[in-house]
Amino acid sequence: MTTAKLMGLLILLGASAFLVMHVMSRPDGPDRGPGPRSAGWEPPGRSYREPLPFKKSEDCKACHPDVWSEWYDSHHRIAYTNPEVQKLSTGFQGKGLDCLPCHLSRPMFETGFGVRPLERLTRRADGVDCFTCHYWPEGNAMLTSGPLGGAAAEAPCQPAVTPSMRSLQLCAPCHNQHKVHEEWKETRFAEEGAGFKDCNDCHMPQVERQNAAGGLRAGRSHRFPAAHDRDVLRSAATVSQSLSERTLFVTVHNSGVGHNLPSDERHRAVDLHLVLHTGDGRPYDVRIERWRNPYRDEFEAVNPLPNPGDEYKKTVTVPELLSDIGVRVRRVPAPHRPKRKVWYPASTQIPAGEKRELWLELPDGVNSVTVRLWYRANPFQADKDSVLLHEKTIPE
Amino acid sequence: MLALVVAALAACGDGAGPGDALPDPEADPLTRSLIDPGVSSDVRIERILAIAEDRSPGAVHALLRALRDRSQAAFLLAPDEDQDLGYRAVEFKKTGDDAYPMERVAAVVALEKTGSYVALPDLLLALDDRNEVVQNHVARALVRLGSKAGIPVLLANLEKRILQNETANQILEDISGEDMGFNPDAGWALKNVAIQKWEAWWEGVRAAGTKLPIEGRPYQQGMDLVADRRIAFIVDMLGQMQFLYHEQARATLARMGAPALPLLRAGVESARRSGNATTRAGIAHVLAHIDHANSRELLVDLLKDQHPTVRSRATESLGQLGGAAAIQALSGALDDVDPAVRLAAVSSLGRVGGDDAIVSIRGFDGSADAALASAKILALFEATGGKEQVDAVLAMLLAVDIPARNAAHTVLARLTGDDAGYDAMATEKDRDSAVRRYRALLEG
Repeated sequence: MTTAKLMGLLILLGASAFLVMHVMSRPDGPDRGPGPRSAGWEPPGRSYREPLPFKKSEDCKACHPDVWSEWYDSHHRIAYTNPEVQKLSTGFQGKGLDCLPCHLSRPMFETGFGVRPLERLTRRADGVDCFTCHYWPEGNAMLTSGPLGGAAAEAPCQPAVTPSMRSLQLCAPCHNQHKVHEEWKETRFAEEGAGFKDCNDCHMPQVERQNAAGGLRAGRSHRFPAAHDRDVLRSAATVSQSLSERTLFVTVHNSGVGHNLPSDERHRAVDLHLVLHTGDGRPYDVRIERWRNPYRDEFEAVNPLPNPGDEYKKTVTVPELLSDIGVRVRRVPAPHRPKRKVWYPASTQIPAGEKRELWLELPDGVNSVTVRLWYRANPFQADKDSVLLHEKTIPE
Repeated sequence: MLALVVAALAACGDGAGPGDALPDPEADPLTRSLIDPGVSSDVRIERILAIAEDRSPGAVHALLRALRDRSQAAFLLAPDEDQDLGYRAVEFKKTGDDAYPMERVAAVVALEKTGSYVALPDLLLALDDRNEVVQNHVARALVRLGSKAGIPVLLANLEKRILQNETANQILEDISGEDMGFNPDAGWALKNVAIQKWEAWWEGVRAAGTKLPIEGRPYQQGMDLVADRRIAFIVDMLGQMQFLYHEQARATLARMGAPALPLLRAGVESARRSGNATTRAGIAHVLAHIDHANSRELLVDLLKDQHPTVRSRATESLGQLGGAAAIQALSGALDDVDPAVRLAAVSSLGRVGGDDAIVSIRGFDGSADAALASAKILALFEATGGKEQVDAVLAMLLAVDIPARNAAHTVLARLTGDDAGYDAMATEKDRDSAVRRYRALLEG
């Protein structure tokens, strides 16, 4: 064998060995969504040989009327048919097609944790339904977090227990599309201990249900109270205000939310308004600040407070009073993890635990001022359709 | 043996492989120097142009960062094993006004000079730049890389303002060697004459597949290993969690066209091994935008996929591509076990139209679900060119059910080429006016 041939053979052997080692050491992508077998999935103790006899959420009603009724009144049920959603997604056409997988989802235990859900196209009136969260096609079972009563063995929905039903990974495929899950992970609520709260604690609160034997058992609400629930919204923020001479001091604190305020969708907005009262009896309503995550094509949008502790000044004009209001705004960091990951640099949402402090010089002639905090489902929503989170007039 | 060595080197390469950690895109000194806020824009432009012919991966990656703007894409993506969800998104810190479009133009010019296929995906995304002058230069750089994806953008920009239309025309002249007499200082009547000539030229070039004077060799897998890895990473993005990844990846791959097909097929095979149905469903969506025999072949293959959404999306995409082969495959999908696939199949047959499609639609049983029944009515209406089911379809525009209104409107608008001023959320009176307009369009 010539030297050249020997060298060639060595290179060939070396390259082959390297290639084999590399391929063997390289993950074949199982962490990228191999169905429910991905991280976080704990299979139930049993699966069934017979196909599930049920095909739609209506089939669940007979045995679970209370749960079914809660879901029926929830925004999960109208995730597809909701006129607001239909409008914002342009009827799920064009770019709106990308909204479909989360608004008409197939079972999460079919698509898998950690990947984007997929759409089902049919049973449109059911939106995000019982099957989306409970159905495990591979095991022909409806999943529950348990425990199961004695009658469950004969239940036609073929129930099986898995702790994965309590996993946040069940919510994340849809609700982390706008980084809500990531935001929560940086809050004090995500710390193990007495103060721990996850999605379920606020959005699936505990309720009492009757069990098959007529007794009571603990269950979880399937109304999913959130941005469409006035009580939940009003627990989100704490607003305080004080007046010293002509200087108004307002604090808006994200005190009750385990994620940004407003959260999730880009079209949500929280607005701080002042209603100025003068001697003429007319109220002068002016928006002082708006907190929201702008749409991606709002290129002019800039977050003036990119870092905790930042301050900025601006002027708000009240044309009817021929007057300008000088406003100073400060970003007060949260006590827990004051420095947060920035997901959307142009966003002015208030992270959990943070405050915004505002100082304003009231215009001459203003006798009193009403401080209002509005929650708007979209930035164009009128006051009459929005939720008033706070209202206080000073001096009273 | 050389191929084996090359394959081994490719497999162990750094950078954008799906399982590798990407470096911070702004960490290296060269990148920092090109986007340094501490110097003037002129200095940054000089620095960008100074590395205009440097084909090294470091230089190309630095130029790609200088090219990027938030209007082109929301995120750079970097795998991050420390994240529960497997990835981290690297946002563009540059926000606010459009102060530095000329730096992006310089980056495009520099990338064009490198002739590196590594820039191909990013240049395709840069056709969405908020500034039309940047878009125009991108279109020329793409032609050098063998892609005509930017020419429709140039044609659209002829109708924009003075600097935008002037550069669009100049670049059309550069890439074609033609002069259609476009004068940016002339009135719109004269400009429109030249625009029509350019549109006719493009129709001819597209139909004949004419190679343009400055057109480079189209990208093919294997020509540039770094580019291969970058594109493979973009295919992988179709399997990720967030819709922004999907949007970005889909736009890039759809614009890349036929050269992306081998990597998309590899993506399907890889996603079958890993069990990632989301990737396969994403690829099925992309294929709707690539009118090529291999694209249809891959879609027919995806009709046999085990996941129903992959099959339903493949069905939709076949409907968009059309053709005789599509009708046969779609007719077969009418018997799919999953109703979503049957729904997509009957809708797609309506879109493709023709006698064979109509026979299949008539034989379809849509009784299992209200959505299937509506889809059959709409399909028959569309396939017959609006001759059958007219009253039923127009009635849908007035239905209580808003999704039904939107579905009917989509088909009517596609068939008539007019939206009749219809808004599914409008009052009944306004919708009724639109119904009358649609009826007149169908009768006229």
